[in-house]
Amino acid sequence: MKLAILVLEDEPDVRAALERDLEPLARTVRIEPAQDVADAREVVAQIEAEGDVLALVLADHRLPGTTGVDFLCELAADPDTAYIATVLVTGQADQADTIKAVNLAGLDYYIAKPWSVAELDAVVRKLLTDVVEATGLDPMPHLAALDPVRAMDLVRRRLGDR
Amino acid sequence: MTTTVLVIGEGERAQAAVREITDDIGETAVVHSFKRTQNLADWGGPGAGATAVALVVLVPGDDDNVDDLIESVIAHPASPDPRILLVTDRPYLDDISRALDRRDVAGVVANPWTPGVLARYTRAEVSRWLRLHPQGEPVPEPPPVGSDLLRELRMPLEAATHELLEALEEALGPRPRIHLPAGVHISREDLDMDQLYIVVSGRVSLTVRSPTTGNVTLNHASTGPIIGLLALTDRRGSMVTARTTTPCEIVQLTVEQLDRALASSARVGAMLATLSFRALSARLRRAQSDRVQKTELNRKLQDALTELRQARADLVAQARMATLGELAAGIAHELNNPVAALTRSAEHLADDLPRLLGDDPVTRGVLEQALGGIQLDARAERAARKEVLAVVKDPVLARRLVAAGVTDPEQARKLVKGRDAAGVDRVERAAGIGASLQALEVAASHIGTLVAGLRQHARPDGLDGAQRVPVDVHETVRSALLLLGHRLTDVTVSVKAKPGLPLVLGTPADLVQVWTNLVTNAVDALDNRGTVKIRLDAVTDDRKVTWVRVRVEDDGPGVPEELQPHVFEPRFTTKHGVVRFGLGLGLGIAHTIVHDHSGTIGLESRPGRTVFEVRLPAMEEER
Repeated sequence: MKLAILVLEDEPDVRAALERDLEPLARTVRIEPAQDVADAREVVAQIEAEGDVLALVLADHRLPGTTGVDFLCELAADPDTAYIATVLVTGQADQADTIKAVNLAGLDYYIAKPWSVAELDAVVRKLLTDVVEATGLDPMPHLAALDPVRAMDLVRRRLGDR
Repeated sequence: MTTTVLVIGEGERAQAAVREITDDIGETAVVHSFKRTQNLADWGGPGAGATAVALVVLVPGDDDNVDDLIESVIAHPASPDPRILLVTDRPYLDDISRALDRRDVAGVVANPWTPGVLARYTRAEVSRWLRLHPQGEPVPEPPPVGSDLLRELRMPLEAATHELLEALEEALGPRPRIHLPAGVHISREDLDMDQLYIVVSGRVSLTVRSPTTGNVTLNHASTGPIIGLLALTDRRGSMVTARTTTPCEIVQLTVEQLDRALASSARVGAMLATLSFRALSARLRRAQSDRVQKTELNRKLQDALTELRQARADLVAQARMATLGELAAGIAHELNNPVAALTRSAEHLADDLPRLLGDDPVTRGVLEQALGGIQLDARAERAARKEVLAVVKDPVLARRLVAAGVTDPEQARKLVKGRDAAGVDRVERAAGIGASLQALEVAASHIGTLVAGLRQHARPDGLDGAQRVPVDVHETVRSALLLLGHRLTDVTVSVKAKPGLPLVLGTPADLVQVWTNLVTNAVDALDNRGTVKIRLDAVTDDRKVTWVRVRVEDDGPGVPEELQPHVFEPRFTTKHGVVRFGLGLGLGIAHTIVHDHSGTIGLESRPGRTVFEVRLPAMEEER
């Protein structure tokens, strides 16, 4: 079983750039691109079917058809997917979008374009660790993609529980 | 028609007033008597054959407020605008200010009055009211003026002059008449006046010197028959120059002669006062109306000044725009060569690189793919990645290979066989170079389009005297659509043309540009989904001019109302840092070209229906 990150972005160049910056995690975490919300739903179903766990969605807010914010709201409203960490990656969300994302989608983080690689890496690791902690998953197989300090703490606690 | 007179008041005096008035004008007037103004409410008004109330003689009681009384009188429908005579024995009146302000009070008569006086005043006021409110009957003459001064003031001017002369000659003996031709100066500005001239006949003009505008001639009508009135005062410096403008007959008097005449004859004084009073009041009236006129002129001048300032600001703005336009055209021209160099270089690089890269089909394939600008969509990318992953086993490598364009699992296997890191690296670099070259070409062509648009706007082809020829407008529309073919894949464009349209005189290439810009604008507005209808017909206007009319209609969202007045203004719009000139420059160019063809272009837009209408004057048919 692998943790999975969904990169939802309609501009191919931006999508590729996000994936490239997430490359250090790519051997540990499954990273899947999607270009619109319909595509994203397909990916979510596939990840589940293959026994992996979707832990994080990075979404642009401007997408053709349904907006990224609406998709994040959708995930937050469904108890089966509510645990998934959500990040809005955007250059031009207006205030109403942002308020909606925070209030209704339980937005975990907001990354402004252009992002810095270090910020992206830190945010993703922190959120993956949050999800592992909250869902009680075994951190061991995912250590390379988690926040090192907190991950070791989790491992120790888990060993102590036994 | 009898005149209606009211007497309002109580007591002996009021009754005396009724008696005196009835005795005096009882034959032509009906006198109604009321004790209090309240009683007016029950009055049915003057009967048939009587006028509205012409005069009210008001005799207020000690405790009455005169303003209140007058207001209740004029509130009565039968007395909309009466003359009001107030009869009172009060030493002070402090309650008629509102009535005076409205000019309601014609006069105040002290009580008790000299018998007969009230009747005379009544007659005068009734006659005045009848003059103000004509009843279609001759108005009775007002009572004659009793005093000399009032009588003389109302005399015709000439008669008054002759009376003065007569009185003077009675006192001084005959005075010689001096005959003057036109152009003689009787008085000059700045010289002391010590004589008086009486103009018996002819005309004299008065002029005043002005430091800025030279001599100003005063109005002839205000001159009057006496010149040198100032000689009578202690300020003798003449303010005006008096000059005869026609042959004149005048009589001259020194101040001493006048003094002697005045001392011996009261009539000289009276007539001199009369004439002086009239001359001065005429001049005063004139001065006042001049002042009003001056204020009016000042206001007009101020308006004109404001308009001038605005016009100048507009001109400056226009000049600035023109300069900017020239600058833009210059820059556009200068940019041509570097842009051409960029485009050529990118092409050469694209030609040379594959040869440099050798025969490796994978590398060349990847490069060409990147040069073509082909990018997989996310779904295809995931599928390809999955297949490649199955072969190379490493998700990072799989992503990189697919990103570089290696989607064939067989090729991928060969590349990573024996852990050939250099092979993967080479493929990624080739893909990178391809993508960069492609970006270069796109950028260069973007700049090229911008430059071409700018140059066209600054100096559209044909405006510099290109040959005008008879043009079939329908043909130019077809050419435009042919040129636009690649942009019209997702939009339905229909053309309907009335057969037998007249030709127009114009430059075909420019007209093609107009239709291209209008259709491009419509397609942009539709966001590539919808219908564009082009209709061509001929219309004849009120002045019997025939126009070829082209209407380009789309069913897009429409131009926002606040933008509509500006769509033809040439400008760029920037959105997210990207310079666009779909709406703006393109329509500006169309506007310039249409106007250069003596045509008109207009816009009518609401959501779901936007129509650009172009009219071009048809060529006159040969006979």
